[in-house]
Amino acid sequence: MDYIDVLGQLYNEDPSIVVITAENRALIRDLEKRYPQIPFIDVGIAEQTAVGVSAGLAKSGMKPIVHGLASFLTMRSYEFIRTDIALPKLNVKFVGFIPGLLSEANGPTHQAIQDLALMQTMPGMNIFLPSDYEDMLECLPEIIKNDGPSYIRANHIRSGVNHSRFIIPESEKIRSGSDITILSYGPLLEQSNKLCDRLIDNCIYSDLYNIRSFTPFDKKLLRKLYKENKPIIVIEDHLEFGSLYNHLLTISKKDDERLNLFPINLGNNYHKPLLLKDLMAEDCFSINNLYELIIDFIKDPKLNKA
Amino acid sequence: MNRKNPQFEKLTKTSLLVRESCLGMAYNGGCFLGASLSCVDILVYLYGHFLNCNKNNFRNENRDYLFLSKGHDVPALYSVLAENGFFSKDRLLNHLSGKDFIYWHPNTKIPGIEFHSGSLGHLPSVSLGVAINNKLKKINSKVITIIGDGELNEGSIWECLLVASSLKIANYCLIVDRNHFQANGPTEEIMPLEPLREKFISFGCNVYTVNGHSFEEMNQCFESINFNSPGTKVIICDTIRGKGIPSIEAKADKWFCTLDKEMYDNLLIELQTGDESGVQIPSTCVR
Repeated sequence: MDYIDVLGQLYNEDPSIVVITAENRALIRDLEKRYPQIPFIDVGIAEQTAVGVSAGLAKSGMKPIVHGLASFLTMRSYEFIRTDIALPKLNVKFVGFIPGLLSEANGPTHQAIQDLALMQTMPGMNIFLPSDYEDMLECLPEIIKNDGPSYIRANHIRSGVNHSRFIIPESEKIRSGSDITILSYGPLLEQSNKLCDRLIDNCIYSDLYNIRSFTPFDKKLLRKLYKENKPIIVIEDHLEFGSLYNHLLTISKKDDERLNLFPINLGNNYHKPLLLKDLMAEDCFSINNLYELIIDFIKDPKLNKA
Repeated sequence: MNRKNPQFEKLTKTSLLVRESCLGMAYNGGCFLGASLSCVDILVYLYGHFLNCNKNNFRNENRDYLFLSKGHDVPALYSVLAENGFFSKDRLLNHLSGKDFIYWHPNTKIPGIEFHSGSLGHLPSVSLGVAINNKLKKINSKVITIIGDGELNEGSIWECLLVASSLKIANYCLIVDRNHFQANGPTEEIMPLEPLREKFISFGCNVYTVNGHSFEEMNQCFESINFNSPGTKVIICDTIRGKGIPSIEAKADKWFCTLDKEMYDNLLIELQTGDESGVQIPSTCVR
């Protein structure tokens, strides 16, 4: 079962599905060959038209799934998404390919590291963050069956992990520990899992959550975090502005609650164009660097007072 | 405007009523009067004679579809819809009132509106999506989108034409309201479009040119087109900004007009007689 098979299954259940791409075929290269019955439209490198056409199809009762490189799908056609999809709340799903660190060595033009910041400003837009390819396949049916506009921060990297069933907006608990909580998503979830092992070597035990739904956010998890009052580390491949960390600050303030949040993200910088394995090994998201940042944070006397 | 052919006498009368309503909105808070008046006869012809789209079949998927991408023409569109019974003409008096949704761009809260517009260069691709849907469902309806000539500055239109051409979509048509002006001046001074016909042809379109104020000529043109054949149809309607009111015809600074009572009365007489009154209409800069 791969991404194409999931689309095939979904189409069999709901023949109003139509697949659109702005010449981003990585996930759907053999779709036409394997499922010729699924309507497939490749508009070429024309993200605005992909979005506009999807609006017309959705207005007519179809359910378009639009593929594009995350950077250009969210930014090049941003105003089209706002005007033609979000404003009339049309049922269109956007699948953004190579978001965050997954742009690897392409350089800053391809880095979708403000995509959450942009997409969350649109009223009614749901945002989903599968942590790997397997998670994406698990999440996809639920996301497609959920009515309304959605953005999926796609992840094509296979991890071999079997993920639990996805129910919107629930997060997935990966491991348990009583000292701190780590929240992460996308390719940094696996790195966070390795980090937890390293922390255990030093007798620090961490909860680890795979945040699969950005909006709507998992309220059950929130209530737990409010109650526990543990240090919460938020590790993400996004600029700080519009990040999950900022999102939690906003939600907790609105809820009149306090969270001991510590952000580890890209701050205000584009990341170094490197292969993913090198980004994980030697850049700010290396286990060593993450470990030291967390140790410094939990030793912070201000935090202990809180 | 053709006033001789009896077949179109009713449309000629409707055009006059529509222009009166547009003037009313310019008096009632101001509107894009010059832009709207160039499009009146096209809209009157389409809804009054050509399109299979009316108040009774508007929710039927087999109807013809009309999208107004050049959103500032909304006074003309709403007035035409009201004259064709989509909603009460009295509702036009709610122009800019907080109790209704009659503002300076089309929106779907008003009966007969297929899709909102305002941001230029959007509806060619949205309507292309509807045409693709129709093809998938074997619905043989025409999908027509009116765009402005100034709107052709938007790259998204040309991007969309490439896509439409590659998909060989039938029943997909763009009408250009070629009034030779964009917001602040003549198109050929701000962003030259000519040779426009050749541009569309090079994008794979079937192109037709017609006088957008003659019902007879429009009818000859539209009836001669095989919309059911594959390929984008582009109909360039040659029009005049402000058509029907001599004081504001073909004037760069009469895109948007706000009228007081004296101006309104004089322009109404101009509309009815065709004679310039000499009344001064102030320039309004809105872009």
